[in-house]
Amino acid sequence: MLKPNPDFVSREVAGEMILVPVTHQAADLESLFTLNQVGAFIWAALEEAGSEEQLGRAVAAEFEVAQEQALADVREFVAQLEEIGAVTRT
Amino acid sequence: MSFDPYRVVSDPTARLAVAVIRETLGVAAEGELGHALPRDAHAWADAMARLPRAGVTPALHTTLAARELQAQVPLQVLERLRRMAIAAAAAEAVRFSALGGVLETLEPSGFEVFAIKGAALSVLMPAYAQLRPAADVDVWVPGRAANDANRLLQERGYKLRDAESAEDARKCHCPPLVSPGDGTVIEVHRRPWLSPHQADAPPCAHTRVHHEQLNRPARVPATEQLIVIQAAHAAVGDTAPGNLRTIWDVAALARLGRTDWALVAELAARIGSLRGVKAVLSRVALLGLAEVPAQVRISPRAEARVRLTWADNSRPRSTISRIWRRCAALDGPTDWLRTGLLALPLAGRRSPAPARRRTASSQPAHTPGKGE
Repeated sequence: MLKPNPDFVSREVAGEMILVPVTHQAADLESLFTLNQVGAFIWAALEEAGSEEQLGRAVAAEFEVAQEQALADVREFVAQLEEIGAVTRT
Repeated sequence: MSFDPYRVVSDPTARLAVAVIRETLGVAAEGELGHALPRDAHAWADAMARLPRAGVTPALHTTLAARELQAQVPLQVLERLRRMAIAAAAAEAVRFSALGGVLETLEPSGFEVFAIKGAALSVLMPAYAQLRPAADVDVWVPGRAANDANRLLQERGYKLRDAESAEDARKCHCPPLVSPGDGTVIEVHRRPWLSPHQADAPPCAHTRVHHEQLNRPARVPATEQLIVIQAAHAAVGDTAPGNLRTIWDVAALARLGRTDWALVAELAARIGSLRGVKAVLSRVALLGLAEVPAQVRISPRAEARVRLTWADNSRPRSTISRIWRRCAALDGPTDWLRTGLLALPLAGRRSPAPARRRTASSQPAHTPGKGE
């Protein structure tokens, strides 16, 4: 099960989604992460879809891509989120 | 004669700032923002040197995107605006989280905590708040309980930002603290405004607002009180009635719902700052940012003389200037004298700092949930 870290919050800035680690110094722009459209969708869906497979299905439906491709993209993105501590696996 | 919101603004950069503010509030006419944009690189350089002082660069970035006007802006300026907007949004997210930390520390111990100023705007209008750069998180713990609250925060890891000084003794808040981890500056206010009048009473009314980023609902004073807090800070404090960010805040609050302007006048008069609050509200009306009735505006004759000068937003104030501004914003002759003395550096040394006083009880003398 994937769980978003509550110490990361998202903000939309003129159509661009950013991920903010709220435990860091606010002025540290290097600690921010910019999400593309798919990334923003996955981040929003993380709360309800608890597994990569569920996320993959949701991405495939939303963006009309093959499920295998969607799942691969989700796995790659989730790995990046895990690396920065934005999600945990339980 | 048609209404001209730019009658009181002649400086081109100030006009751009006003156009951005009008755009964010949804009162700008078609083409108004595009008309106010600088025409060449030199004018943009001048604008970018001064606009951040008005706190409108994140909003400029957002409104340019919304109006699809990016093509009229030099690329390096666009990128700078983008970075400023992202930084402001990130800083707001961090401040909001810090507010949650303060509430989680103080409320279970029985303190009644109210988000005020930028923190209240974050709770009430998150989309607006992330456009609005701010330096700290302000909370109001009415009266002497503020000292106990500040002490409890220090026991839980919040550090004093600076060595306690005589300056703090006469201010309306306890010595500022720094939140552990994120470094956010926290100001716990005994009273929400700098006023010679005692204003230690709790808010006249308040609401509890749920926000997805907070684990508990946040208390915010009534909109009318928030309007008076913002306007009085500008008028009585060290900014000025022409401070654009404050005018913007007040207008956004006034547009939030139906404002009881009689209550605004009563609250402002109660703290002896009706004149100053009226001066700010007149500017809100003159810029066409919100409907403001005559009862809370300066006279039409005085309004005819109003000009928004860019210096209001940027120039550091001398002691004499600060005394003059406070006197001009206060209602009674006695206040004139008292506020004048309060602004003198020596005045703070004559009385012990409230923050240093030891209270008889370490427990706050109030009931949690009171007034809900």
